[in-house]
Amino acid sequence: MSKYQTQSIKTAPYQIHTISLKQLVSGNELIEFLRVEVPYGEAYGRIPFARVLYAFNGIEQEKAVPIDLDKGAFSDSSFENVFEDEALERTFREIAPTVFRNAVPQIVEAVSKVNLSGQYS
Amino acid sequence: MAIFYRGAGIGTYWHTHDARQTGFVARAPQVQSTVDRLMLHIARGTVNSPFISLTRSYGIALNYANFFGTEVPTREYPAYVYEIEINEPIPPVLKLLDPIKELAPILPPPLGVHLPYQHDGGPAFLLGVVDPINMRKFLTQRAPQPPASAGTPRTPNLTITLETLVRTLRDAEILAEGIIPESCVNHQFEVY
Repeated sequence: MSKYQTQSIKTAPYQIHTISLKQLVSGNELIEFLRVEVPYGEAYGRIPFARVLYAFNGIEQEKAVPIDLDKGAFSDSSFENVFEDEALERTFREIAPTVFRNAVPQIVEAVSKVNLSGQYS
Repeated sequence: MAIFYRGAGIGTYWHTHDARQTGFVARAPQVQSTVDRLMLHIARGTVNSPFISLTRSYGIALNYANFFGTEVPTREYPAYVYEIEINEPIPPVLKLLDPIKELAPILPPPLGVHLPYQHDGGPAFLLGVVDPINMRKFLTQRAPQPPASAGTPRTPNLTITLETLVRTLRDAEILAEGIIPESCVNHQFEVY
């Protein structure tokens, strides 16, 4: 018998609040910030994470970049293995970490203007 | 015996790599382990770190799995929570660190001349540190000063030490240094 248990766990329901980042000026013309998705739900109280959606080279990417809003930090693996094309991948890895890091204050400020805590108090 | 957890949101390293097969290794195991690096790892989410973050709380791991990924998890494409069991004697390739205990010895003495880790704001300032999104206003209020010494208007002192203490407690965090052998990884729960 396998040592491992596979168990699927459905978590408590939550909603996602979307905030436009269209006004956010990116530090590189290849990257355009589109929106940030902030999860919230009564069962969670507060969730310090969000997902930043963006376009690269004019094309909206399906995968977001998750951010820890308390720390102003992105998931370290979000900037790797994004593109199959080697040249695109290399360019993205080169510029994305800095462009995203520089945008943290504006992203945090945009989220902090929305009082999601009031929706589950 | 102690049980720890690690959340793996979709698209993160431990989602695309199965720790049940490989165990857990730090992203930069060759980097020297210091208290400064520990603070950067916890408070700033520094990438190249010799530490692996674990939590004593399943709820924290669940939050990371669910919400700190590139996509929203579904039944068909779930995120993961790993359960890790570490028993005495701890494997020789592994060291476990309680960040609070690591920080305590380096905190400046009450009469020290360096910037203390304590803030100099009002009682609500800490709320702003704990929740800089919803309690942001407490983070940015001016630090009250005694009469006749107002000085330059500024927000209260916030050191990386205090941030590290707060974030460690938020995540019920324990750091692993070295390698967590695959034999310690009990389960990989699928969450969505």
